[in-house]
Amino acid sequence: MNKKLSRRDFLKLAATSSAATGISLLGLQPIAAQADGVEFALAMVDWSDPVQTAFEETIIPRFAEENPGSSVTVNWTNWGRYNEEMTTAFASGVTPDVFQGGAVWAPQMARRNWAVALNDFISADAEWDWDDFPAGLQADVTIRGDIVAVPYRQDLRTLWYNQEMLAEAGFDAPPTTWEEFLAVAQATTVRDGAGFDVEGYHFSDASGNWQRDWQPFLMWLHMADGKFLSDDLTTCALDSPEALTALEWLVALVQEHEVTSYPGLDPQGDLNVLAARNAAMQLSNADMERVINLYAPDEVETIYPTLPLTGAVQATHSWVNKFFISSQTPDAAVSWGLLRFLTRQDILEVYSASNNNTPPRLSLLEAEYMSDKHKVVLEAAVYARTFPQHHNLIALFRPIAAELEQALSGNKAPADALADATSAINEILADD
Amino acid sequence: MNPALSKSPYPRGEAPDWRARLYRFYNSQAFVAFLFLLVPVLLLTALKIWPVFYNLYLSFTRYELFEPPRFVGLKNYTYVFNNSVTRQSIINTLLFTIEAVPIGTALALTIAKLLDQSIRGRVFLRTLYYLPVVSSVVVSAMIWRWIYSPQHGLLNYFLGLVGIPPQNWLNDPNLALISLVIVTIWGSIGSNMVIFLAGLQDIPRDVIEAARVDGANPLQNFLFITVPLMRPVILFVVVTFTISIFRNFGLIFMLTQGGPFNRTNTMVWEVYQNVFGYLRLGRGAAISVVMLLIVLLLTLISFRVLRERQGP
Repeated sequence: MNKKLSRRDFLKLAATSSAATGISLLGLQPIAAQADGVEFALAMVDWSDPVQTAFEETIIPRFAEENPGSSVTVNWTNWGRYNEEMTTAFASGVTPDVFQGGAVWAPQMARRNWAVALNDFISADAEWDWDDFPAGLQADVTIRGDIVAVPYRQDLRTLWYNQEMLAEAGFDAPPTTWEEFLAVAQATTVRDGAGFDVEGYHFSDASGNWQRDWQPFLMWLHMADGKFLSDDLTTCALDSPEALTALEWLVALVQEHEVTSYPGLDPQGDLNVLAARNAAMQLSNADMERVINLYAPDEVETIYPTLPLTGAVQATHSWVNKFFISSQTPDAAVSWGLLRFLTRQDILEVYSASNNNTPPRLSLLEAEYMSDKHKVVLEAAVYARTFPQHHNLIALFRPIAAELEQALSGNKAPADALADATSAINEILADD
Repeated sequence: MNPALSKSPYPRGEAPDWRARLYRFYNSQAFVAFLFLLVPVLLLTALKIWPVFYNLYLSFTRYELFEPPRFVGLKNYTYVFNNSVTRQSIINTLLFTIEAVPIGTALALTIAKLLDQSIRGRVFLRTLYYLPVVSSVVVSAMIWRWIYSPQHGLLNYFLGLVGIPPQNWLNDPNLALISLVIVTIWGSIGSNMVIFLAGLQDIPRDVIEAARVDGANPLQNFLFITVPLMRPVILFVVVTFTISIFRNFGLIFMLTQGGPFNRTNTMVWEVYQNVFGYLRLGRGAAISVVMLLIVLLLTLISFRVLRERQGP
């Protein structure tokens, strides 16, 4: 058969293609915009398998039950790709109605006008009870008077240790000061030639992204009573004696005392270095307990948290994770209905328990799932400092990450590394 | 002549010249072909050509998505060449290319030549070499992360058997880039080999045979007969391989994220960092324009070096 295509054939084909394209495009509309009832889209990044189960079996069904005709579609993602997913979602106008965000997201979202200010909803909703959130957490999500998010998790970091290893090394109690910490780390380190069998202190993993070093450094910086940025956020404060003390201390742990390797040991799959008994101490959050319970049940009775160490001051760092309402949501007041539900005391309890999160509500501090270990982590809140509220923190952290790598590898003196980091960060701040 | 022409409203010979031509074109097969071509051309314009020009425009602006682009002249280009991290990314990309392209191309050609013989298990071996091409880059990266693991890695295990101490493949600044080069070559050999195999089929057997009769050994035959005759194919592989290395993002994302010490921070990673990390789309656009120019330059050099020499 040798039939040639006529114009009519072509036009038929074009019409069919156009119809098909139109139908497909309809399918790509943001979920919240196409429903007769209210169909919410929710982006969840801070999760584990039990969280997904809790959402699918308890939280979402309860929302549907309380809000007949409404439904929630959850997009599960991970931190590794979340930033670009959200950026492209905002750029193309297809954001979820409610989305999770990390510790440095509030000033960034406020600056970009990507989050709805929640002040009016919160003040009109006494039953939901904003005062149940600690003042520090409220401050973290309040940017120039606008409440741009609601915390769902306090990610408190403190010192975790292997009690058995410490006891074998002759220590009955965990360290409380830098000096005691060094003594314990030295006594528990087991070398294997040039390498390590056990790190007395695990600073960071060998692999991982560029953020692996500055995050634990920040805690040592706080313990030295140092700051990352000046209070007015206009200059870098890493050229201070306090910052130098923190970095020199870390460099000494690696090069002089040799109690931690750099780059550090790698985790064994889901088993982190402490749970795998490749380290005696590590600064970590309550997730440690979840990991041990799940993957290293034999270590449940050996690994414990303790309060933050005292250097110049007793201090640590807290990440505050939060939910935002997208500025692109069709109706912010309607989306507030979902956000207030997710951050309600009973729902937060289900979510926090499923992920072993430290809850952000004061009324949940005695929740049933809060184990003794978790309560110790929670006590660290008193000593916790949060991130400076600068909208471009990720870019600002890049130079210090690079310079930490140089200093900890012995390629650059700590003072020079900090001076170079300060100069690079100030350059970014000036250009901002 | 198309019978439809007989339906012209104008008596033969009386229609204005341009109208008659237009009418003939409208009734011709060429018009139908043109309509069919219009769709891909429009798509290509919307999805490829327009973004290139828009990217060029953005490279002269400061653009952070939440505000309209603001013209900043050559500031982004000044940044590209003055910023030490970005400069390092250009050097890393060139090093990556210089290390991977010659070795990868030579290996693929050699393997293709070996598998072009009538040997037992030829099909199986061809399939084996091609397997990495059909594997997802994420899966490949996960496997290589395990192979390279300093404590539990397969590579260090084998090195240990011959008394070589474990290496920190992905975190040692001296080894990280070469580790990525190895993975890249492993992943590309299959596709390049197939292209070379196709090229080898086109080499006249009588030329090879004549050389053999003249006393050329297999190595001489390969170096002085096969390789010169394969020049156009080698050029194609070199150019496409170079482009693929400049676009190599997945491996870096999965294995090193630009570290350690920015030693694997390539231009495409730097574009990603600027665009998605810092939302500096103008800078990202400027880096990608520079990247495009470098690829063009390298392609021109390849053409010059490898193009077929014409006879007098």
